[in-house]
Amino acid sequence: MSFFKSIFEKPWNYQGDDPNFGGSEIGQGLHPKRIALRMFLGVVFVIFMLFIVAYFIRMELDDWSPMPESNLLWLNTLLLFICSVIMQLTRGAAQKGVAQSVKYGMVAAGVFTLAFVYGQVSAWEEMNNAGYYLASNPANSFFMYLQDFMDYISLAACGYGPGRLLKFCLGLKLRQSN
Amino acid sequence: MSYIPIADQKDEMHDPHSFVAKYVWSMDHKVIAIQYGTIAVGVGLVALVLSALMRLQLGYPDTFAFIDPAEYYQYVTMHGMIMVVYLLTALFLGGFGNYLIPLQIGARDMVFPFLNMLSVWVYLLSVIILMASFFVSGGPTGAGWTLYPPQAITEGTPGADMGIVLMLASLAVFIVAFTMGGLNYVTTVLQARTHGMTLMRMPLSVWGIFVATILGLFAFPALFVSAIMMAFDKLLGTSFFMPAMVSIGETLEHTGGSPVLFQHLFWFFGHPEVYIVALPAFGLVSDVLSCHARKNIFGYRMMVWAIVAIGGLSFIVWAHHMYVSGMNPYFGFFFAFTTLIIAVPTAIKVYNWVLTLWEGNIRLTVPMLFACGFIFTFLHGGLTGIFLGNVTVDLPLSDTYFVIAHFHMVMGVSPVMVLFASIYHWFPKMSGKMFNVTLGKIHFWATFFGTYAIYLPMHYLGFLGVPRRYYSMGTTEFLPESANTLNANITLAAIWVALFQLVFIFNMIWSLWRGKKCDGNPWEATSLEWQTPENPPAHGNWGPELPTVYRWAYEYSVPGVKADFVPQNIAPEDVETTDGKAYIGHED
Repeated sequence: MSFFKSIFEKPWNYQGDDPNFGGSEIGQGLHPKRIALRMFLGVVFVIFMLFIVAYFIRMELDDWSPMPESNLLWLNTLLLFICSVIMQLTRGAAQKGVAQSVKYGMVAAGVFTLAFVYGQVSAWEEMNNAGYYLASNPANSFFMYLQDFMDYISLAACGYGPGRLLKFCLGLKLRQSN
Repeated sequence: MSYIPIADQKDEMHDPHSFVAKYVWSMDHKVIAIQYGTIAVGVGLVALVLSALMRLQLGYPDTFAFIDPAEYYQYVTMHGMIMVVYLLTALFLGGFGNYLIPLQIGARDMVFPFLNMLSVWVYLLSVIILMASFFVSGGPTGAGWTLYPPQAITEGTPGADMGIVLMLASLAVFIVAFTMGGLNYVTTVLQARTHGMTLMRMPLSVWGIFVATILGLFAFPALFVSAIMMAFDKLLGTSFFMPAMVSIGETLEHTGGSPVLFQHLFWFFGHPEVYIVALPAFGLVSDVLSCHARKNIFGYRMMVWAIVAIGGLSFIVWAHHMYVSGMNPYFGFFFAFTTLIIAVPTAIKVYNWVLTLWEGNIRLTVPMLFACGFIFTFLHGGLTGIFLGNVTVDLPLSDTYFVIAHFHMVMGVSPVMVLFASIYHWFPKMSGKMFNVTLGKIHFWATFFGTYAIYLPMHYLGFLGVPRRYYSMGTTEFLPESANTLNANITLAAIWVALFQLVFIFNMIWSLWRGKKCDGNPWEATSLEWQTPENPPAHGNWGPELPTVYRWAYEYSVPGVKADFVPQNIAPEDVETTDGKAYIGHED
């Protein structure tokens, strides 16, 4: 039952002896972590949306001077894309319970993530060497601020991934030994 | 393997045994709630002392040599930020949210107890960072609680060095804590309800906290983003918000930033923040009123819809705080319109509270007194909000005491009335003891009349044109002498109110220690938290079996039923009727 349908119930009416009357068990079949993750992704979405809105508003002002596009950034985007594909494949392997594939998948995703972070830092250096410093123009500031943010998220994921991998492999081993 | 709903899972209870596991690193939602509450009240008392110092300066200028202009602005800033974020948000959501959600929906705990524990400790860290700013060179920031750039980070503003940096850091840490707690509250409400607890059988307290948490999760990021961007401007010399300017004869390195952009981001958080505080208050007060009026809440569905509608609309009214900011005038038209629209669901709630009292069997208990007090103060604060929501009225009043009076009535006194109503109402459940009723009533009347003595005259001062944010009026010719006399009287009233809060603190501590023991349901309430097998509830809340819910939480004074209340978890066949016939409850 959808949220909007359920809020049309009339709870003051006699509802029989069935304690599950109304049945508005929203998402009861979902794991709580899944719900929390969706909410968290919502929060992250809002953060990025606000960055983008601020970016566009700030862009309109006179002192804005766009940065040149670095080829390295396209390469970094490709690395991030490959990493996402690997994570998706690893997820499929985890659902099938193929421990070996999960292990390789997580390691590969970790390598690509670190390569991405390294690429970002290199792009930053490239910009600095070309005279595009953090504070010299708002366009540079936004670029480096957002880049920083992405890097922290990637590093956090890198830290979280191995922990999950270890837990998963241990769990699988235990199940197999039973 | 498919996921088994929490209410159907086999219970595994791991009772903590050591003192540290039970009271310090506790993962029990009730202990965490009390930890949240204690920290919030502690830091709130600091803010209360700051307000008393501000009032001493305003009421008796040139008398207290230890309060200089810089310190005055630091008091103003810290008082505002602490009260809004670190006291009210934390106490309503971290305190009451933690205590009531699992108990009122029939769960054993929050779904992520470890994250919950982490949330309270990170909150404490944010408070410590904030308090540390009192001890750094230059003191805390004195930029005003809205922290507007450019002055917030410009030399000459009190606390423009370390004070503002610590404030921004503290806010960022607070938001991390809130997000951890908030994800927990939302997921718990959606996932951990017991059998029969449909969304529309939840008490309004849970609805208020639930929607306010969602607002918080989506509104706090705006503050987070702006805090980090301002920290970049301050520490790394960027120009997100800082315009090109000359400060103390020196041209700064900043170029062309937009202070109005900060204001938009700040108020995109700031206005929902009003409802992050107000919605839980609306929910809690609805439950208190219904219980002590012995009547079902009037228009339950409308109350739920109003909470959801207010939550949604609160994201499109933010710029009514910015009519004098120099933004595009057409924005003013739009935001005045949305502001008037949001008054509609808010008014529905007020009507419904009054209609709940209508012909009820009212018990004038201490919580009920505070709840009724809330209706008065909220009505007054809300009505002056309609004045200020209109651009043409707001422009002349914006920088006067009228605004101070308005937001203190609606955002300060009203939620605090609900806080007291709720603390008195749930104190017997939290402690297993009853508070001293006489002291409670003294506390209510002194606070109620005292706050009116503070804020009613401020409306008049606002109409006279007394400007806010001033350290001292000096010899302002257009103000009559009576304005100064009034200011002195307001100060006396403020000190009166502050002193009577000591009665409350004494009552709570004394009752906790020496209060009379009470049974688990002293108010004869219907909602689940009053039906726990032990009082106060033990770890896991419900003993071996989770309760089953058969009806909503407002079954009071049902015709044909012996008792004047029917708890949510009593099976229909166990309800005693006057004529011996089967109980069928209300019918449309």
